[in-house]
Order: sequence, then C-alpha cells, then structure tokens
Amino acid sequence: MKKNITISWILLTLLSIIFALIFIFPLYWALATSFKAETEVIDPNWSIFPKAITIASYIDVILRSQITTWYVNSIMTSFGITILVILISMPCGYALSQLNFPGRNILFFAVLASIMVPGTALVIALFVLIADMNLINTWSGIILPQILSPVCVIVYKQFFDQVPKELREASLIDGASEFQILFNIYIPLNWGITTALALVTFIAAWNNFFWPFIMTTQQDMFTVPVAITSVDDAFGIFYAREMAVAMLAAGPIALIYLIFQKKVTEAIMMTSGIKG
Amino acid sequence: MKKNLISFFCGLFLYMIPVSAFAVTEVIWWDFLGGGDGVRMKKLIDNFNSSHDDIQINATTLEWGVPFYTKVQTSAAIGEQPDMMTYHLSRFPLAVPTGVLRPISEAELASVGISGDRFFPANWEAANFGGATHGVPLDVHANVMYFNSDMLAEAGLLDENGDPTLLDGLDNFMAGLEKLDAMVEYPIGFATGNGGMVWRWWYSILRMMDGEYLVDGKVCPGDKCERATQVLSNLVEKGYMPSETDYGSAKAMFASGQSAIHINGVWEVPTWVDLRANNELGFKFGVRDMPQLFETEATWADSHAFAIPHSDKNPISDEKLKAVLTVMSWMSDNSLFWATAGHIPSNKNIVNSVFYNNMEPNADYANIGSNMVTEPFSPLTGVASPTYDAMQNYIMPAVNGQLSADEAVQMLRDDLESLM
Amino acid sequence: MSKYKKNIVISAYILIFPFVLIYCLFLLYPTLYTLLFSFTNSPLIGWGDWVGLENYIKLWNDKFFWKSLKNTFVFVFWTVIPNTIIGLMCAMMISRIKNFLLSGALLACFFLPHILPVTVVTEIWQWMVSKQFGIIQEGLDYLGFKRIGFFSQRAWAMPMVALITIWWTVGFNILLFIAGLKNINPELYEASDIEGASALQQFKFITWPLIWPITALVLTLQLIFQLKIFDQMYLLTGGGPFNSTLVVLQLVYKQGFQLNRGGYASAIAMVLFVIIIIASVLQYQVLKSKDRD
Repeated sequence: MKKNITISWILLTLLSIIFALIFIFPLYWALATSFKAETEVIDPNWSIFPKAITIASYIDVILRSQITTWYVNSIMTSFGITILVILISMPCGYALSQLNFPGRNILFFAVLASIMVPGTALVIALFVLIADMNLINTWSGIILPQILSPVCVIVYKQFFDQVPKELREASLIDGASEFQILFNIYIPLNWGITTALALVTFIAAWNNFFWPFIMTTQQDMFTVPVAITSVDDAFGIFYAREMAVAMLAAGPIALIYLIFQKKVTEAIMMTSGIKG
Repeated sequence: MKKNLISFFCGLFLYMIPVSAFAVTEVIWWDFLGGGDGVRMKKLIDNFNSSHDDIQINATTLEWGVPFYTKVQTSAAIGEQPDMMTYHLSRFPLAVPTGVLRPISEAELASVGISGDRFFPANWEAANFGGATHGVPLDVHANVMYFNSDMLAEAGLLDENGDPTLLDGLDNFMAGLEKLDAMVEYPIGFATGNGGMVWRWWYSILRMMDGEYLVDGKVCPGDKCERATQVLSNLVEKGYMPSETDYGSAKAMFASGQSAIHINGVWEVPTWVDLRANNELGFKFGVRDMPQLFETEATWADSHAFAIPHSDKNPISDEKLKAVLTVMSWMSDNSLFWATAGHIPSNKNIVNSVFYNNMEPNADYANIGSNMVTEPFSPLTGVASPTYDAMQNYIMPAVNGQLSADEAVQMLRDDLESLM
Repeated sequence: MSKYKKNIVISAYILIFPFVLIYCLFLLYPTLYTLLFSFTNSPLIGWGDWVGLENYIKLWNDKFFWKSLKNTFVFVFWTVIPNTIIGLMCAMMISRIKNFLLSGALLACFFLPHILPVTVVTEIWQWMVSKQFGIIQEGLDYLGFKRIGFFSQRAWAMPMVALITIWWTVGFNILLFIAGLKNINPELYEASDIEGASALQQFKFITWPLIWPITALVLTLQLIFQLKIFDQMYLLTGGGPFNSTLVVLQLVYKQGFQLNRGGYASAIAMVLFVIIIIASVLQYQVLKSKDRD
C-alpha cells in the first residue's frame, strides 16, 4: 500500500536524515581530521572539509608504529575466537534444543546466568589462571577466556527449535547418530544464522579492550584497540595522527560491517528471539 | 692419523665458535618513555645493541603511570616480569615495602664499576630507600618554564641578555603576565586539567612558601596548601591560563604560538628542539627554571632509575643479572646523550664535564640543581600514588574554580589521611 | 523407569562437553576464586590470610563504596531509559522509510558507531570536546556560551560519558526494535487509519503494547550492561572529578590494581554481581507483570 507523500512525510524524512547525519558526524570529523595536516588541525580558521587532503599522518603511523604486528594479533585472535565460539556453541545449542538429559534445565539456567557476571571483575582470577597455564602474552591466552558466548548458545537453541521435528525423527529411524543429524541437517539449514553469529562474534572479539589490555605486557602482543591507547611516539602536535591511528583501528571492522551489513543486521535481530 | 686428529680438533673448534658467538643474552626491558624522551631512549638502546654482540636489549614501552606499575606488579607475581625497567624514584617508598623491587648488592654494583659516589647524594639516598639499593639512578627531571622569546621580547620582558624578567617574585610574575595578556588570550599554556601537572607546579609553590605536604602523619598542616592552590586558581581566574586544559592541548597552545609561556617538565625539551629543527616551530623558544614566586627557591623534581623487578616465582638468573648490570652501567656512562632529552644526568661526572656544561638548552636551567625539591618519602606520594589521584580529584577542580581552595584541601586531607 | 534414553544422554554430554569445560574453567572457577579471595586480605596476586567477612564489613563502612554504588545507579539512570527511548524512536524513524537504500543508509549511520572498539570511541569524543580545539567548543563559542571542560566538571562528566555510551550502543537497540516493529501486522495500522486514528493514538494503542516484549528485553539488557560499565570511565575520566564518575567496577580496579588490595576488590566485585542479579530479576518480574495487564 502506497502512502501519500504529504508535507509531514517529507518533513519527517528530512528530519530523520538530518538527525542521522548529526549522529554520524563525530565519526566523519575524526576521519576528516586524520586527513588534514597537523598545522591545519589547530588552525583557528578551521573548516569542515580538509583544505588539503594529506595521508601524511597515516604514513607516519604505519612506518613509526608496529601497527602491522598489532593487526596480525587482532586478526589471529579474532578469527580464533570466532571459530572456537561457533564450534562449541553449536553442539551445546543442539543438545539443549533436541535432547533430553539430566541437568538440561540447570545448564540452560547457567547459560542465562552467565550474561550477568561482570567479566571485568574476574580479570585477576583469569590472569592468575592464564599465567598458571603459561599463556601470558600468547594468542591462546587472549583467546581462551573469550570463547564463552552464552548468547550464541541460546540463539542456536532458538533456531534449532524451529527446525521441523520430522526431519530428526526420520533420521533417527534411519539409524543416524545425533552428530550426524547435527552436521547433516541442522547446520546446513542454519548457515544464515551461523554466518551472522560469526560476524557479530568477530566484531566483538576485535573490539574487546580490557582483557587484552590487562594481560599483554609486550608491545608486540598488543591487539589494535589496546595499542592505540599506548601509541605516544608522536610529539609536538599530534591530533591528526591520533585520529589516523583511531581510523586504522576501526577501519577493517567498519569495512566488514559495510560489506556484510545485511548479515550483521540479521544477526542482531535474531537475538531478539531471546526471551530473557 | 695425526691429520685426522688435527681436523677433528679444528672441526670441534669451528663448531664451538658459532656456539659462543651466538650466545647472546637477551635483556627484556620495559619503560614508560614516550614522546621526545622515547625517541632518545630508543636511540640509546640501538646504540647499545649495535655495540654489544653478547647482550641485546629487547625493549617495550608501556603506558605511563598506573598501567605500567600495575603490569610490573602482576607480571612479577606470576614470574613473567621483565629483566629490568625504568622506575620513578618518587615511587620507591610505595614500591619497596611491597617487595616488587629486587635489592642490588654493593658487590653486584661494584662488579660493573658502579658505586654510590658516582651519583648526587640526594639521588643516591632516594635510590637506597629501605636500607638497600633498589635502583640505579639515571636522571633527575624537574619542572621548567618554556617561553616564546619573540613574544616576550615584544612585550618588553627580556633583558639585554635575553633572560626573562618575570622570574623573580610573585609581583614581577603577575606584572609580566598582565603585559602578555594584552597580546594573547592565554599567556600561559598549562595543562590545568591534568592532576599530575597541577601537582608538580602546586608542590613547587608550596615549597617556595616553605610549606609542608606531609608531616608526622598529617597532610597539609597550616594553610599553605590552600594558599598555593589560590596562587594557581588566581591565574585561571584572571584569564592568564585556560581552564580544564589537557596535556596535549597545552603543548599545542605553546607550539602554535597561542601562548607565550609553557610550564612543563624538562622532558619536553626535545619536543621543541626537534620541532625547531624541522622548521615546524615558528618562533625562538627559551627555557629557564620556574618562576620563583616566594622567599624560598624550589622546583619540583623527580628521578628515573633503572630497577630490577623481584619475583619469588622466577628470580633473575646470574647470567641475566650480569647482563642487566652491564646495561645499567653503560646507560649511566652514556647519559650525556640522555641529557639531550632535557634531563639532568644523575652521574656527577657527566654533569661536571665540559660537554654537559656547554649543552644547550640544558645550560639555561642548570641552576635547578641547587633548588630541586623531591616529593616526600611516603607511600602516598610518587607517580601513580594516591596523591596524584587526589590532585586530579580535588585540587585540579579548585584550580579551575569549581570549588574553594579550603574545601579542596580539606577533601585532600580527608582522603589521604584515611589511607594512612 | 528412567525417562532418559541412555545413548541420547551420552550423545548430549559429548555435545555439551566443550562448552561446559570452558564454562567451568573460565567462568565458574574464576568466580569461585574471586569469591574465596574476597574472604582474604590478599594483595592483587597471591594468597593472603583468611579474614572472613572483614572485607564485607569494611565495604559497608566505606564511603567510597556507597559513592560508587550511587554513581553506578546515576549512570544507569542517564543511560538505560534514554538509550531505550532513543532506540525506539530511531527504529520507528527508519521503519517508516520503504526505500531500501535510504533506510539502509540511515541504519548504517546509527549502527556504525556500535562496531567501533571502545578506545576508538573515546579517542573520537575526546577530540570532539577538547577544551582548546574541540569542534563542540567552537559550537559553544558560536552560540555565545562559555567553553566547558566536559570531563573536568562534576556536573558534566557523568552526562558526557552517558552521552558517549548512548552514541556507541544505541545501534544495537535500534536493530532489536526494528525487528520487533517488523513483526507488527501492518493491517492493524491500516484498520486504525480507516477509523481516523491519529499517529499518537496509533503509537499508544498499537505500537507500544505490541513492542513491549522487545522494550522489556532491551531495558533488562541495558540495565545489566550499564551496571557492568567500566571501559569508558577508565578511559575518559578515571573516576573523577570528585569521584563523580567512580562506578563500582572502577572502584574494584582502583582498590585491586592501584592500591594492591585484591581481597577487598574481590569483595566489592561479588557485591556488584549480587546486585546485578537482584536488579535484573526484579526488573524482569516488574516488566513481566506489566505485560500481563
């Protein structure tokens, strides 16, 4: 049904666009600053658009800091986390969804309860644990505490719940094991949600700050979000370089989001299937 | 047979050479030196590495302040500590009782030619807090006043030697600022929003008034702390300093010529030197000791030292210890280059040398040596101590006019005395 | 007769084993460790002596603890409800646009901040409000106001952190609301149009009640997340000025990492955990009972 284009409709749409532009302005401003020369940044006669676009700040950051190392750290740990999260959440979600076993309700409740735990407060205990496992300053040390994702388990459960029961029953009659059912039926039917969850998990893993911050003590093990708080080799006036570092830190994820926007959006929406 | 024997031993010999040549001891080094400091220290580290085949320094720079000291503590507790690190001497009274610093014996120091008489007495005393040597001093760094020579000349505030005339006494200082205020919006570019910066200037002023910060378990006896706060809040109120300004912005104000004076530590000397060398500083700058506003002369100072973290779980091996001591000794011997970062080397021999005496701009503030005041020996003071927090929480807002000096100092007293 | 089939149970246990293992190792164990730690006077790392409830008594009498608790709830007040309302409003704004390109672009504007790491968010905003060079200060100049040191003034620090938090996280809520709005049958609106209902009435009688489950969910999640707030405070204000942004987890950090009191910090953390549980269960019950109306 087509709504008539009234004045109020146009006004409201315009307002929405203006509000959206204001909302995204800080991001734009950081981007614009990163492309200005340092002297232009603090010039009293500043302008919204860079008077002269320069990538000097970016080059300076790339050459003078270990940003490539940090990128590698972030990529490897984020991938590691994503893969492991999917690998352990999926079977658990399936079991909760389809199988009846003692402790099922306890497990479900435990998964829900874990959302409420203030992870930041457990940092010391985790630190000591990871140290005892000799994993300080390693990728594994960064990865392991983060592969617990109650949300993924619950989402998988919700989605597996929706798969028609007949499929499973038919396979059971054919003598299939639960693993075969999981891998041959449930997973293929849910690639969409798997992709979506993987994307969201990757983004969250990339952006995690406090745990990598506490537990890495070597500069070459920093992840990107941690590293940008410690980049201080630039002296004099450094605002453009600061923004350049921030943009470099956010860039890859922003790109992933823009490319996979639909999938990421779906993923978040799927979690609305959770009834707390 | 003889030939075979000879070739056997030759082979053995040849086999052993690479083994010994590649017996490099790696020294894991942590520091918190960034900015102009950091660049110079990296150069020193590079110089060491290229001149030593058997020892290589593997350096990491971590965030200054609480994050650095916390990481030292946590990593030492689990045996992942660095072999050596930089440490602020002002923090020793806090650190030594926690056992995080490994004492270095006289014999160990002597093995690389270090003894106490190499250093300035006050420095050495601080490094020996707790009855043992816990660090090898590298430098002393103090607060100084940077100024825009061109602007001061224009305001008529430079004498015939090029020395600023507003450094002597509060009245002179205020009069000079008034003149500068007619020229620019904020004569002093100062980080009024940064607790650490406020502390350093505030403490200097307190000591200029002959005031005390910590006495017999009491914080800020008398009313001098309040008056020191008022000196600074007055500057903000009169519009001579911008309020609530962060560290980077204060520097930018000076660098861009928006402010004529910049109060900061000596560690920013390389910043201005390098900017000037790259033609990015549009004026001639000078640096002098802080304006001495009252009867007594005082300038806040702290000191960097090299220390060895102590770990029960993973104590340092003898081999590493030897390498670390070698590094410390080399750094001390070569601290003339470190002086280009603005610091005053702790090594007396270097400071008394003709090279140092002629170094610019260090020579301009060499008189600080006689009026330096360090923070009181207490676990409540020093970098990343409760004092720094309290400055940020109470005195900084008072300087910026958010509450009265009396209220702020009282809150400071309550906070710190509750920790005693 | 057991209602459990043996081979199903075995399969189930194998399937849940990895998750349960990680859960026990990296969640249960640290939580128990922290709990036990809270009954000792340990430093940050390493075990001290057992002191029983001493830490809890201490925190009951610690004015900084109560201040941090108050600050946390103030923060919750500044963020939970506004975040939800703004989220719903933006979702409604976007949902009414039928043009995919435009609605997609609008959504991207609101959601892009959400995918930034917290350190990038704080760097961007510190630049925006920098007292000397921030563009918001220029805006204040233009409007004739005095410049404001947002993070140095007691009145402004908390609202500013709240604003930044909302900017960073509202995208998530918007998506949830969009999904919820999509599920509302458009025929309901059409029918009310025919009856001449105004936009306000439509909202009150159709949208609001039907979106309520999502709203309840968003409110609960927001409450839990904001009670756990730490990163932004640590990066932007460090708890000041006047400890006005000292939230509970910030106090935990300060006591544990700065003052080396691991046992005491753990006690505070445990108290926060209990508060989060109580608050979210309470809120959920309240919201659920409203649901039945």
